[in-house]
Amino acid sequence: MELLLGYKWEDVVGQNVFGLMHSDDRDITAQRLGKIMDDPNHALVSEYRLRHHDGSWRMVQTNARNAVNEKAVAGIVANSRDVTETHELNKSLIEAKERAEAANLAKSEFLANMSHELRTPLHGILSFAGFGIKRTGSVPPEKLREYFNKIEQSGRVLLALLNDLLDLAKLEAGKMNFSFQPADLNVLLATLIDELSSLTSERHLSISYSVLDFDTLLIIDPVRIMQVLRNLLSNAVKFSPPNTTIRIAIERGDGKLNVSVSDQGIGVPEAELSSIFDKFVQSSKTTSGAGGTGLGLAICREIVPAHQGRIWAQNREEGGAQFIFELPLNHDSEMRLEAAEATPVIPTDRERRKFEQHQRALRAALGRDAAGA
Amino acid sequence: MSKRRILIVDVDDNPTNVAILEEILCDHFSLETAGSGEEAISKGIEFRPELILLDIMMPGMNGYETCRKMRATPILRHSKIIMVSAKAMVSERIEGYEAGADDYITKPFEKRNCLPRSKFISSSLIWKK
Repeated sequence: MELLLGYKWEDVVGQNVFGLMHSDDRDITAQRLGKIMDDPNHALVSEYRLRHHDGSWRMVQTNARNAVNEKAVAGIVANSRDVTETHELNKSLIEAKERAEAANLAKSEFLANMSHELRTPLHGILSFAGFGIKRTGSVPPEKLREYFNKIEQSGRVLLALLNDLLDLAKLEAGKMNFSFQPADLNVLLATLIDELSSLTSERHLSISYSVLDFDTLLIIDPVRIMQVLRNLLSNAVKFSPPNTTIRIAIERGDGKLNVSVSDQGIGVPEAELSSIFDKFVQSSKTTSGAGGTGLGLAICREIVPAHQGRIWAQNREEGGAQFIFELPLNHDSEMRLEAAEATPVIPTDRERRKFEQHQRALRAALGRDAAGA
Repeated sequence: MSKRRILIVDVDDNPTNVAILEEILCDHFSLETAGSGEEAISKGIEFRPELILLDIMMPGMNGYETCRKMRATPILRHSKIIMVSAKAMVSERIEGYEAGADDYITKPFEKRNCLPRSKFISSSLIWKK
């Protein structure tokens, strides 16, 4: 007894074992013991929790046998042992198995989703290439140009998808090189909004954003933060009904800068507000909606923490989703050192080219004519 | 001989996919298009098509749900429905049939696959009549 539960023999003799037993285990154990008392030759193995002398709960396994009819015994024979470690090991194995099964399920869902996302642009490429091959000479050049445009659009969608996959692979492997430098968030956002204007006007959407009068100069990797903003704004565009407004707000808090992108779309189910940032997971609303690979937000969730920030989603009371990311105004010395060595650059030309490429892909994904940009 | 009436439901809000079906089918069928499940039901009731080509990934109501609602709509109950989707997993195809689809074509597809099946499925409705 002392070995099992830490109590001295003389302290527990005559005590009822149920006094030490976990309340959840008492009834079932009492039933089992009752059964063994009533039934000669009955044997059982029972497990229950007992309070150790040190206050912890120990899982105890008892093998009991009714030997009342055996002359040499004439009683109940029971031996107990501490199986706490075995139990915890089993529990951790079950949890590991459940985690593996969940990961496997997420992987299967991802593969199914990727198959869909790859097949959709491939369908455009193969179909219009086929029409072009069969109809060369029988259709006017304008028709052939139309086929080529469709092939180009679909190709760009495919390229954007592959770029997302490669980015995520790099981020996950910790091989993404961040180039921290002073950059003005105000300017980055203004550039992005300006470049989005043709797309949003095609979708009859407006973007509400006013230039802030406080200092929004941060030490960030402007290319990657633009990628975060681009993903959030692209999602907002995808999920916004026509004639609605996407709102962008920057607020300065206690040593932090908060950037939020809000839409008036269908919102995100409450239970999925956290999981939509997981790799390969999309909002259930997406399965009946705007498509996508389930990688954009996973990429954002890798980039923002690399800036010592955090990102999350919430639903707005008045309807629609709101995505917020928070960046620190006071950066650690390593980031400052790296930034000090970099030339302060507002990445206009490079970012503009990258964005234009992305915008064409987004427009193609949304079924718009890239040539009409 | 007049062309059979067919309704194509837009794919992922993506006109490229509708343009492909139009290229393949316009010489053989009279076509109407819809951009969502809701619009498909409404146009279905209006035009009473013999065949409906229905995508799955659509804004708002998805293709499975649209198919179930069409099957529950008396006017559309006997229209033939072919699901046309890039969803190619066996479970996704089964879900399509369970929702009430008569056939399921996965993208990418070729004209020689899509056209005869559209003709055959819509013909079977006439034969039944």
